[in-house]
Amino acid sequence: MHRIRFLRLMSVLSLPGAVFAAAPGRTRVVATTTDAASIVRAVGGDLVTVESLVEGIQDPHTLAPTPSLMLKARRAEVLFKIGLDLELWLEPLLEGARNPGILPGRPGHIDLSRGIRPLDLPVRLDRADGDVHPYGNPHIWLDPLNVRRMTRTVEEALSRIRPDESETFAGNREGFVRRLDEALFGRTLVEAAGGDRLADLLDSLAWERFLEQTVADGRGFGNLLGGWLGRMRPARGTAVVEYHGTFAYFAHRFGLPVAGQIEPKPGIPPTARHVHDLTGIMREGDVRIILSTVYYETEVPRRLAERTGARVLVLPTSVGGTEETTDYLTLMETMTHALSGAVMPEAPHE
Amino acid sequence: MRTRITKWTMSLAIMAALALLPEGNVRGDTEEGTEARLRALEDEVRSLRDGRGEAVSTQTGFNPRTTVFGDFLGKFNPGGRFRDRTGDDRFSLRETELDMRASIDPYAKAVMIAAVREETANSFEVEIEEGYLETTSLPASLTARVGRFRQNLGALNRAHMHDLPTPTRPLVHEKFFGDEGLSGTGAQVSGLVSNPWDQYLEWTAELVNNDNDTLLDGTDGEDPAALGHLKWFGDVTGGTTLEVGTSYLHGLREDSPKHLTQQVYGVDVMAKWRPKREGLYRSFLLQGEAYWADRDVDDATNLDAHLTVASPKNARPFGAYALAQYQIDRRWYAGVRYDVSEEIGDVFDREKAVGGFLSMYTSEFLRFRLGVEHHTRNNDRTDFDVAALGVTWVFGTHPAEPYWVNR
Repeated sequence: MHRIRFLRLMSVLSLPGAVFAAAPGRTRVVATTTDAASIVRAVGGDLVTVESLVEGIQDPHTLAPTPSLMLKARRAEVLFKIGLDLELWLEPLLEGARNPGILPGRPGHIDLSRGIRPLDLPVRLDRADGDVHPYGNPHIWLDPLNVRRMTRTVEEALSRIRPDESETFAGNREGFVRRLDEALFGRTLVEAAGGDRLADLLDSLAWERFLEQTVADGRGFGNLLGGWLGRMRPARGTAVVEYHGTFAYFAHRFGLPVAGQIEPKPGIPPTARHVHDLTGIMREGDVRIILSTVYYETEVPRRLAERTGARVLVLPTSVGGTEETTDYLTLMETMTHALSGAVMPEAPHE
Repeated sequence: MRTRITKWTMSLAIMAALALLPEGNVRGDTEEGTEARLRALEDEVRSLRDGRGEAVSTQTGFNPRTTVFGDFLGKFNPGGRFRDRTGDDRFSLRETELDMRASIDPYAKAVMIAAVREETANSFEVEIEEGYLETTSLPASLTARVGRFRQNLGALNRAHMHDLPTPTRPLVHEKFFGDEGLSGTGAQVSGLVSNPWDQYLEWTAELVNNDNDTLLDGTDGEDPAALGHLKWFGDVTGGTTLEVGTSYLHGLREDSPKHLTQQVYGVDVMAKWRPKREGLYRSFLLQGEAYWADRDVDDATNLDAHLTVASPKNARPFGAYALAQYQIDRRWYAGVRYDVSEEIGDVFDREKAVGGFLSMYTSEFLRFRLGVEHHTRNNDRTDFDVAALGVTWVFGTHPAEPYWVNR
């Protein structure tokens, strides 16, 4: 009898309380990373309240589920994740959150990697190759074209949840994509050619030939290219070494060959032997830039730089990684500015 | 120069170039023919990955996620004394675990964990360590579990042997609940307590068969044993979390006509510090548990003959441990543990231990650990040392649960 009373009491205590209710008029969203949060905010606008689980200064692979994060997930109506197994910590966190509506397979669980062409797809799945990601490199948000596609996923998801607001979400997306395109290609080119067409071209082998096309007065499209691509164009072909695989999409988009990684294999801390080998690779290839991010140690990159004369660039790779990276556009602005400045210290950087 | 090109003329020129470029070049050009094929292949891969195409053509996609854990231990008792207690003074494949888990349907998932354990030299026993069904969509934050499972007692009982932060289980767990801790077959319900302070407060209630080998001497009571656990889990600062829990366990020993009551009260505390930026390289863990058992003693039936010498009608053995672990860098962890515990059946037999351990992870899937412990027993006023070398490995799929509970 006492046991039955105890269980009744517990079931009453478990009823959802006022603190878990969503604010009226706004859909409560939780995003796994600050980058996903920034994209959802751009599309959702005033109709969503977005909280992120990982902070920009944290390694998104290894988050420890904490009570405050579980409560954020518990309150959410929709969850947006980057996907491709970036967030291996998500399942235990969702178990603790006890919110069935955002479990995998439910309408409130949205994978932003859908439709994205992954890089670094492993040819075999073997732990001898380190902590490989079976579905490919998950740092997809560092390619602005991927973010363009991710906004479409966000718009579709939010419109499914609030069909009456689908026009607002479509308008918000259009406005954000326009700003993204202008930041990526430069306003002049976008106004002339249209962002969608430019995005298609950039994602094809025809891009370079397009830039060589003459427009007028003997000038090519390459002369009209501005934005991040224009800024990074002189840096194309500059070989870099990076810590993890974090910069794979960024390097791919802006044409930076990755000569090696400080981690000998994904997730494996650098060994003395590997650092020695990497030193040789860097000297032989005249690699002048070492890319790392804010949550990795700086000792090994510094030692490599001393041995090779290369420069270490510790860049934010997520929104909030540094103070000035307040949204996705400022993140990419910061990254391209720092990198182009390191490659061409004399060049003007608008 | 730029000002001389009007937007209108430039747009016309661009449109003309664009109109020619993709259409005119793509099909006739070898390079772009290759690109078209590449794109088609990429689209096919994407379609397969998204599950929009005919990705799952066999039933293999429904196979459970399967992981194997290996736990090797070399244990040495330099003095050679108390070999009766540390009878495993040798190399052993202490445990091999097969962990399988999968969703059953949209409403439930299942876990099965079988352990092959070296009980005595070259003698292995297979045991279903856990095998349960768990709901995934009950309302009001409720989760129900039926089957056999590690019970939600204290902070460390749910951890499997390979997940422990130390080479051995705390003495109080071994002496009160057995070498493998407390597991039971029955049902569990848990949920969150809604509260106006937006705090994470979790409750668990369990009813399991009343047959724990140690606490209940293997008796098989008709009435189930009940366990309750309440946990507050909070963020103290940005990188520090604190868990405080309390447990209550109740069972009856029905091999006596008097239905002797067995109760255990417990408190557990765990504080973790992990800085946000350097979280890969630094962390600190402080953990402790204390248990009091309250056991009726029947001197008439002489169940606890040695206790009847002191003639207590009721015995209250006590046990506790405190553990600290510091992460030195990405691979290395060092820690110390202090134990004190009385035997569950003899409050006059008290054992203390102090130990240190050093763990090195080559990756998330392989760990080497060295530990030393100094034990003191008051019963016969003697002490002994134990050194342990452990190697733990994991292969198979990557379950989302953390392998190492305190990493």
